[in-house]
Amino acid sequence: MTATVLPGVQRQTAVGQGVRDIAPLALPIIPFAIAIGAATAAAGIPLFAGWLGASLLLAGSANLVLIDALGSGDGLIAAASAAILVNARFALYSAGLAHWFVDLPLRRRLLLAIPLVDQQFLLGQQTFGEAHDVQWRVRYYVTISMVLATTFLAFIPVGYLIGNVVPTGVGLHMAGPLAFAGMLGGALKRRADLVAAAVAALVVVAVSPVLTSAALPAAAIAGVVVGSRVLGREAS
Amino acid sequence: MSVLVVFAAAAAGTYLLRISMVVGGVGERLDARWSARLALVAPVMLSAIVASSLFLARSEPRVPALADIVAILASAMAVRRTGSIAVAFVVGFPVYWMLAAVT
Repeated sequence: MTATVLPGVQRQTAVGQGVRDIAPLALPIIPFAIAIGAATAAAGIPLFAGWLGASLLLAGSANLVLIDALGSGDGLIAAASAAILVNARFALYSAGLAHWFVDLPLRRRLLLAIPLVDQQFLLGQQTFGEAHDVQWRVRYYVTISMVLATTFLAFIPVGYLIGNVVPTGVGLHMAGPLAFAGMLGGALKRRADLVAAAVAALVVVAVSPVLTSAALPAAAIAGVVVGSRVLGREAS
Repeated sequence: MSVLVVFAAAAAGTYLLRISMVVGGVGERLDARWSARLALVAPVMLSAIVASSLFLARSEPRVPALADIVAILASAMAVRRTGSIAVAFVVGFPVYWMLAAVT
């Protein structure tokens, strides 16, 4: 899809495409948010504090890690540190955001960074091409961010109240892996992608028992380093 | 109150990560070579997340259920063939339900 010269059409296209693209990725957020709500209740955290905290953090995996740490009786600094470590991959995503919105004033870029998570980065990498001007990108990015954040925050209270009564046979736990696996299938375009993805998968499984929260960023770095070597070899 | 302080600290640290490359001026000097490397981040993160959900439980290795593995493979292949992410659920869930019922 390319942007047109008509501003009204461009706006519709960016918002419409954003909604269409994010819908399959917003669906897995629902069981995830329900799980976070249920974990919040199980950890004895008041609903409002858990919901407000989730609004501040806007990062599901780190949220779950933080609640888990608090529920296990870990110290406050240890819990916050674990959550930050899980989000270390956002530094890589930040490079993407900096690139997409390089023509915007710094203040706006700093605002756009607030909700940045996996889904925005992955869709941005797939969607933003030379044909999309920066305003189109902003509308698209804001649309997918609003859909994600709204879905996430709406279902945390639901999980808090009913999260422990959803039948396991439904397989809600598979929603996230299925969506991410689908995106992975579409993202493997080069040999370097395949090699990097394989390395990351092996590393995360191998080092998780030791590095726990740091395993994901460690796997990401290992995958990118090896993939970069493949790219370099292919270029020479 | 202490819970909110922990969330606020984690959110502040996370925000610093989110803006790290923005304030570092990376966008201005990202040439084609670095763009190609940045494009590796998506498959790498997706692969690590999928592998974590399949083979790990609370950071410890586990043997995944056959239904989980086949559903995930079917989902990835279906999206690869069609180019539509929505197909991930259309194919993945029925495969999961069928295999979970018989295994």
